[in-house]
Formats: sequence, C-alpha cells, structure tokens
Amino acid sequence: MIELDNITFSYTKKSVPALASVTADVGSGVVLLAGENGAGKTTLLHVIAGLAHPTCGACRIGEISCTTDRPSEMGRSFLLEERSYFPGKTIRKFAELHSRFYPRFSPELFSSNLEAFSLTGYEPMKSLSLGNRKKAQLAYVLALGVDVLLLDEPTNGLDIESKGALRKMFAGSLREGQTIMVSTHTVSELENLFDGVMILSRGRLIYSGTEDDVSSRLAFEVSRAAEDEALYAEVQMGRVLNILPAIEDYPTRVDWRLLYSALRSPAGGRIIDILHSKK
Amino acid sequence: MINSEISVNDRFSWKRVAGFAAYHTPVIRGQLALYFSVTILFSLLMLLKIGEVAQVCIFTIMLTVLSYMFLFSPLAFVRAGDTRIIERMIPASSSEKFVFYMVYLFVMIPVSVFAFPELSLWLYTKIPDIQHPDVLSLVSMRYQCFHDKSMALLFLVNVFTSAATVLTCFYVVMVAHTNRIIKAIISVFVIQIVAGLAGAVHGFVSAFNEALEIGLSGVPPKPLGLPQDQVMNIVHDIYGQSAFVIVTVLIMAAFTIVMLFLNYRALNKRNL
Repeated sequence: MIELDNITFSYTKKSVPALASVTADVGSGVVLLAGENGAGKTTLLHVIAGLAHPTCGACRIGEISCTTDRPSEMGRSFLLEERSYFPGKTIRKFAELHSRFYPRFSPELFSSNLEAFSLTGYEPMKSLSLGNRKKAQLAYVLALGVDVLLLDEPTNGLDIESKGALRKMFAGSLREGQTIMVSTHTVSELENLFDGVMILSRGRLIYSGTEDDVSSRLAFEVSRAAEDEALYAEVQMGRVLNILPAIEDYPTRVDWRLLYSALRSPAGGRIIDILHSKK
Repeated sequence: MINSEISVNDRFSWKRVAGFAAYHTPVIRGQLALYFSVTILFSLLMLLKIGEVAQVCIFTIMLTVLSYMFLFSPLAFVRAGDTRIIERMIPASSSEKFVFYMVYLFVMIPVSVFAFPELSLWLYTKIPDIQHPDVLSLVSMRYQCFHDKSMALLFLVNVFTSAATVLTCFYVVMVAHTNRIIKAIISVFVIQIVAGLAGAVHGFVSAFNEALEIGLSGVPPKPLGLPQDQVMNIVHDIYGQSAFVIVTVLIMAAFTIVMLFLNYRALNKRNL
C-alpha cells in the first residue's frame, strides 16, 4: 500500500538528513512506527502525508505519488499529529465543513466514535481539555475512510478508559486495505493491535516487517528464568520475557514493547541480523 | 450532516474553491464582521458636522487605520494552533486554494475595508453643510488620478506597494514555522520603510534637480493656495521625473508578481 523508495529528507541543504535512504513497502493493517526521539518518525509521517517533499527518492500510496496535487488523488491519506488544530466552534461543525472533501466519510461511524468517547460533538472546542479535544479529533479521523491514516502519538492525553475505547475503535473502523500507521513511544497501550512494525533510528530504517515476519524469526516466551539461548531477556512484574532466536513452529503474538526494548539494547544488532535473515 | 458535496475530479472546480472558502468560514466571518463594523463607524464619523481640525484628525486616523487593516489582513489565517497541516491536506488543487486566498485578500478584504469609507468620502463632497474648504480640496484630490499623469503614477505605486506588502505578509504566514505573527508584522513594516525610503530618494532627486536649475540664487517661494494645489505641485515635481517613477512602478509590479509566484509555490509544495 505505501511504497517508500530510497526516501531522503533534509530540512536544509547543510543539515544532517532527517531521513536517509528509507526503503520499505508497508501493507495494510495497523503498523507501529517506532524509534527514539529524533529518529525521523514525524518527518516520515509528513513525507507520507505529502506535507514534506523528499530531497530524493519517492513515496507512493498505491501507484500514486504522496506529493500529488490532483484533488482526486489527494484525499487518500490524512495525518493527525500533536499540533493539529481543528478550527470550528465544535467538532461537528468542523466535520460539516471538512468532511465534504472526503467522499468516504461515515457520519454514523463518527457519531458512534464520539459516543464511545462519551462526547456529543457539540461541546465548544475551546472549552475542551487537551484529552477531550484529542478524543474528538480521533473520533473524526477514524471515520474519514482514507486509505492511509497517520497518527502521531494518538494516546497522549487520553485516560485509561479512553485508551481502551480507542483500541476498540481501531478494530472497528479499520477497513479492508486500509493502513493505519501509529507513531508512539508507549507501545504497550496499543500492543495487541499492531500487524507490523517500522523501526527508525537516526533517520535510517532499522527494520520493517509484518507481525508474521517477526514472529516466524523470533519467539517470545514467558518463563521463570532467562533462557540460555535467548537473545534478550527482560523481567516484568515477576515474569521473565525472553526473545528466542528462530524457533520454528512457534508462532506467537509479538510483544512489540519487548521487541522495541530489545532492539535498543546491546542485543539489538544480533536481533536485526536475525530479522533480516532469510527464512 | 452533509457527507460529500464536492466533486472528485482534477479539473479546476469553483465548487471546490467555494468548499475551501466555506471551510475557512469561522476565520473570515469574524474578520469581515470586525472590518465592516470598524469601517461603518469611521464612515459615519466622517459625515459628522464637526470642526476642521477634528475632521482632519478623523480622516488621517481613518486612512491610516484602514490601510493597516488591509495590509495586516492575512494575519487572520494565523490561529492559536497550527491549522496549516489540515489545510494543506484538503483535497483541492494548489490553484483552487490560491484563487480562494487571492479573491479573499484582494476582493473581499478591500471591499470590506474601503467600500464604505469611499462612499462616505464621495458623500462628503456632495454635502456642503459638513465641508471645510481645505479638507474638501484634499478629498477631491483623490479623484485626480483619473485626469493627471503624475497622480496616476502615484496611484500605481501605492497599489503595487500595498499588494506586495499584503502578499509578503501572507507568505510569511504561510511558511514561517515560529512566531508567525511577529514575523508577518515585521515584514509589513520593512516594506513600508523601504517604500518610504524610495519616496525619499524621489524627493531628494527632485529637490536636487530643481536646485541645479535654479542655481545658487535660491528657489523662489511657491504661491500659497489650496492644500490640493500645494500637494499637486509637489507631486508634479517628484513624479514628473517620469522615467525614475516608471522604473519604481515596474520594480514594485515585478516584486508583486514574484510574491504571487512564491505564495503559489508555498501552497503547491506544501512543505511544513
């Protein structure tokens, strides 16, 4: 769905590239975009949304360039980030003015999302707290029906209940063929939803793959003690989480938080080698 | 709730321009309401039967305030949060968005700023009870640009300077990452200062040439007359340097065209 072909982006001619030779094919589903601060996650989201023209390389959604200026092709992606501001007295008023550009917007899903967040949509935007404003925005963008939805730290500012509602919303609003790319540091909050991962570090793509790819190459096991052959072990709440290399016939749901933590550890290089190795 | 009224094709669509304009309704409605309120108030004040000094004060303040209302009009698009991301992603072509902004800044705003005051000034020339001779002569001078070459050139310089200033302010609003309001305001004053300096150069050149013609015996005093006549003499002296003035007009026109292009490119490239 999303094709990234040797994407390089620099903010100025003399600056270090924010993205360097990023190449990946991202399929449909919910994809985790992870990386340390300054890794280039927000820049990548801007490139995919067409808000940043790559210095070189190309980004496509399907066959269509991300930087297209054709109205018929532009509405395929939407980015919601921390600094997004929706003008309008209420979110419903904003939706009335904005959604007319998006043919697949679903008013019913929008209302349902608002209800799940305990909002009516008629609350004045200026009076909403940061968390409630974020909820209103999420309720709207999840009903837009775009092919690629890009979310930058969507759970920031949400309470525990709202995070649970958001998880259900992701599951309920994801259409076939749609990609939702989520950039977040708090991986555990949406952990069970991810179908794939892209990991950036210092502007470079460390790894990109689906959950099947990862789980077929690595295994995650909970045990009482660290396994000798484990690549990485972490103790969480009395449990020992091991990443075991290349255990065949051991499919499991990927522990994304553990994987991300392991990739940033001294074992990261070894884990990357295994992920890139042929099956 | 309306699901979708906007056609999805790639031809230029006035419906999409209207949709983009409707999207900005919360912004432009507030600004136009404020502008019309201020200009209607000023227009009524201008038609009051008051003393000459008070009239000159009101006219001067009004013309200054109105001109800056026009020059700072793009600041309406600066919101508390950054709405540019949403705007740039709206599925309308750069041309359509550009047309909306230009029609708003160069048609709707001038109408809201200048329509009522111009009507008021015209009425002033028709109502003897409220007129003062000196003020009337200055007000009447405004219509000389249709009959006098120098006044026409002065008018063109003012038009292009104003247009370039508004476009520069708009460009800063569109592309600046931080402190957009401060930077936009500074850009307006920078152009005003540069234009003022250009006028000062004109004046200096004119005075110098006149002094050369007259020689060291000194410049004879000009006969006193109505303020209009005094101003027209100065305008003729300065703007009679036709080649110099025409170059100034062309430079400001070129600057305006460059700013039009840069604004369109900022919308087209969408880099934020």
